[in-house]
Amino acid sequence: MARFVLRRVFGVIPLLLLVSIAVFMLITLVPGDPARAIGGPDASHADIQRITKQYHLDRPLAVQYGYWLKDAVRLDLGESRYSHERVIDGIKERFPVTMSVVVAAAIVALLIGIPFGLVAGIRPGHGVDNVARITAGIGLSLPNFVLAIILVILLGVERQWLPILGFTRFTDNPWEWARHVLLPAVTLGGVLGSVMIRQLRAAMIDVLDSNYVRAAWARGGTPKRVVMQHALKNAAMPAVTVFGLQIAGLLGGAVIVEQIFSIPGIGPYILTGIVGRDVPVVQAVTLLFVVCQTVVSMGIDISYGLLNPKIRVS
Amino acid sequence: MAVLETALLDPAADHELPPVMMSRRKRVVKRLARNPLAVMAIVYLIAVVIVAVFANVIAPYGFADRDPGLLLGSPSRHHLLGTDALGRDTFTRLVFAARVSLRISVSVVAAASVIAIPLGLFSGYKGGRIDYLIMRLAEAGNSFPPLVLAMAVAGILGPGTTNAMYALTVVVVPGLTRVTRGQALAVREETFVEASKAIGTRDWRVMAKRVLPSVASPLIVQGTVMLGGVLLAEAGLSYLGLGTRLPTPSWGNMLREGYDTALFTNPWQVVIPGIAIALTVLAFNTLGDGLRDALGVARSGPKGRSQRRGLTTVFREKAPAEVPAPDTSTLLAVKGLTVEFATERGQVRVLENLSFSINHGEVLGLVGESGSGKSVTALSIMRLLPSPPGLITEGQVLLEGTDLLALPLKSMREVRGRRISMIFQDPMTSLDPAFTVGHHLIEAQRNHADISKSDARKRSVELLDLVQIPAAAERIDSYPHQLSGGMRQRVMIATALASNPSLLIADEPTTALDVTVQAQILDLLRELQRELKMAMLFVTHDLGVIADISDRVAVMYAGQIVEESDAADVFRRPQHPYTEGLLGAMPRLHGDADRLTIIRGMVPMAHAFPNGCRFHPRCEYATDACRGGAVELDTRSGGGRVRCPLSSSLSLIGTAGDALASERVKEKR
Repeated sequence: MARFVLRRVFGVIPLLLLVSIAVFMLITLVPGDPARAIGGPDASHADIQRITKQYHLDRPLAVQYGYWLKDAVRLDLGESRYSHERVIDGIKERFPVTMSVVVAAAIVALLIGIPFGLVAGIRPGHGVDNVARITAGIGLSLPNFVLAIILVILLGVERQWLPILGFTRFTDNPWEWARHVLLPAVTLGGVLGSVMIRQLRAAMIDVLDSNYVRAAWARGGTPKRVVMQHALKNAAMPAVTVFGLQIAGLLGGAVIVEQIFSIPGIGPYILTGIVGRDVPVVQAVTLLFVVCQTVVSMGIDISYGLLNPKIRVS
Repeated sequence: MAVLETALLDPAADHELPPVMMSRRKRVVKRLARNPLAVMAIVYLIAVVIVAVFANVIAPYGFADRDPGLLLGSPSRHHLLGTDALGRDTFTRLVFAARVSLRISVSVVAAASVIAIPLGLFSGYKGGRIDYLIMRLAEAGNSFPPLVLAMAVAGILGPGTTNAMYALTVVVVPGLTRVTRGQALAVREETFVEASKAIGTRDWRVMAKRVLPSVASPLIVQGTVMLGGVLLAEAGLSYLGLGTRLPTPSWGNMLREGYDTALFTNPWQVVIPGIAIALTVLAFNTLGDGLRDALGVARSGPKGRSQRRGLTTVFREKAPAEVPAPDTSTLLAVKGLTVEFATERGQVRVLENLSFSINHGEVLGLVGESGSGKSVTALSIMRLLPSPPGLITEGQVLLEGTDLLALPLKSMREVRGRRISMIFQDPMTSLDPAFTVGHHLIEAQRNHADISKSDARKRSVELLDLVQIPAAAERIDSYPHQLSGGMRQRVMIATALASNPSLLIADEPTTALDVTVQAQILDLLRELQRELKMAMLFVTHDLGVIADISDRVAVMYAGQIVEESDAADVFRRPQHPYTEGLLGAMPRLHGDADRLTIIRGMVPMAHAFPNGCRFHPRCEYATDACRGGAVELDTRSGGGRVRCPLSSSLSLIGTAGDALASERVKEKR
């Protein structure tokens, strides 16, 4: 098992390198002189020269990448084009906020997805299944910003039950945090919850039709044993995978949701960066998201190994 | 060469045969038309397309025309959906926005397909290093949160419709490449592709003519759902100000404008574009689901009816006859068993009025070709046939006088594994891959007896010894994938024997195994049966397999028993032409090679069982008498039963007494 884990961990390195090249290449998409793009419109000629030197922009692209990567590994991600704040500090301040939103959303998604998905998969055609299928269908079609707006109008504007703007950190006041995070979490988690319902339902239907489940019935297994042990353990694998893959979707969605609810997380940070073509900020945040995604996928891979003994050896 | 190529069994050859193609297309359309949700989605999408194409005609104003006197106006005769904060007609903008949103979705999916499908096909078909490289790149692409990547690219390129399309294409390509590659990889191993390769067809031709048509269905589904996804993503970009630039309306930027200017005063302005986006995406998703079912990409779940798990539904219109006092020598009596399947053609009878019995310690061989109903029989006895589609509509299954068809799951559960055990055809998939061998064995015991795990484990080792698995004490902790097929079947047998059942149902237990392993498993079953004095129902399509294990043999054809007799009689003096045919098709070591015959044709589908004797279209002796009314299963003087109007006048060829048999062949000629 330890070997399996190590192999997975080292397997991620080439992927990360590939991704880091792509992130670095974002700078080449900027129209015009990259030094000017970094320095901003007000930069003087001397500034441009300093930036060219600092970012090695006069060297070939591959060399630039080398320098950039060396710095990135040491968490030196440059500084914002406007505020001249170090990007790593900006991330340190805002990322925990985003994480707390994403975690809350994931919890909401699991609370919706697991019970509905399971019941729907065990009794397809049943009343609960119909409710689950319609819920999932709507959840998947409703853009999260539309869902957010509907929730805001219903619960924030009409009734004023929940705050629709701003944020309180969990560490400052957990109760206020919960009140502030509820709408964003439902908004974000609703989509993932819908995906989970569909995934788990399909997996349960498939697995319950499998030969080994039939054989488990034939041994005289109780419904609890057959469904909750044999079927669930096998159906969990694809569901866990999808859940992991969708974490990326949550991070992306968080950007929009934070924007809507004015949450001071990574979302507004990267959006300001994008609109202002603040390349170091965009690069850093994109890289951060990709690393998160990769780490989660790796975790999923490893948990897969725990769930399925066959994966461990192959 | 070309002739040979089309002659190969090739599902994708449809496109070279227009009539077949037509019928497939018609079938898909028909299935789609029967799905009301999909029809609604199609109608809605067609309406949206018409609106988008004829936006100029439909919209009453220009999309930038302002009515400065009417800011945020309510819906009226002049402004169906009111006006926005700048006094522009909302309905007009909604109509023009449809054009923008659809154009982006369609272009992005088209562009992504042009890049990703060839790439994926190539990668999956070629395999090897190229595949590895392309897949690593796709994986890297997939590890970017899609929206963030789109935002980064669109943001750095600068906002605008075209840049948004570039950004979204970049995001969509890796996923689509991966899906295409996965499909191509699966098809690559198929016989018809291998055959094309083997006869030297060029790669690009194989890919275009063989692989692509086979992977088209899942890609069509994927593309449809992707249209919705891109529409959503574009709306997101526009909402963030990174997509379509004002004043050109898109649903996303309308939403944003409404949110910024009218959320508190006029929420209607926010809701309208929101509904447009949601409905359109919902329509794409629903159509995608409908296509998935219609194209047969994924098995659709049972619809309309609730499925019960673990117990075949019994719905007998006629109350079964009074149960007679159990005959002490009879272990299992199946009486008038009738089973129906719910199919696209309605209820279809797959088993009709089936009766047979098994005595204590007796081995009954149940023989027939695929589709004759023998496995359905075995599963029905155990009530393991899934409902729907399966439904038992008549008859009784009496286990020492108790009608199993009247039992609730709780009592049936006590029968399964304890009084009747079952082993299945495919040992590779009948053990749960997530659990060890020991877990299966311990579970089998603890289902029926209140024993500790450690006692059950000890007994499990004994059971593994009993089925002659070497190093049982170590094997017990193996996972199924670590065992060979033969070993797995031994494990299955061990679990089946765990609670000393009086009857073992073996459903084609050797069919999936190598010939040498088959013989070993057969030997083992025979030994165990004699040792444990256990009755057995041995289901197989291979008469040779049951020749020396069965006491009696029942031959099934098209859902009926056509002959039943002592094993020796069936082999020596078959009474039914079908039995003769099966015997003739059985290769023998010392037989005359000329006599290896085949039965023409195939078992008919259950909805198309012929009138009269069901075997008559394939029977070489058939006369007009065979084509009339249904033929009864008659009891013969010798004790056997046969369902053939001609049986008394025919003398059919068995396996023993080869000299006599060849005499008869001469006579017949």
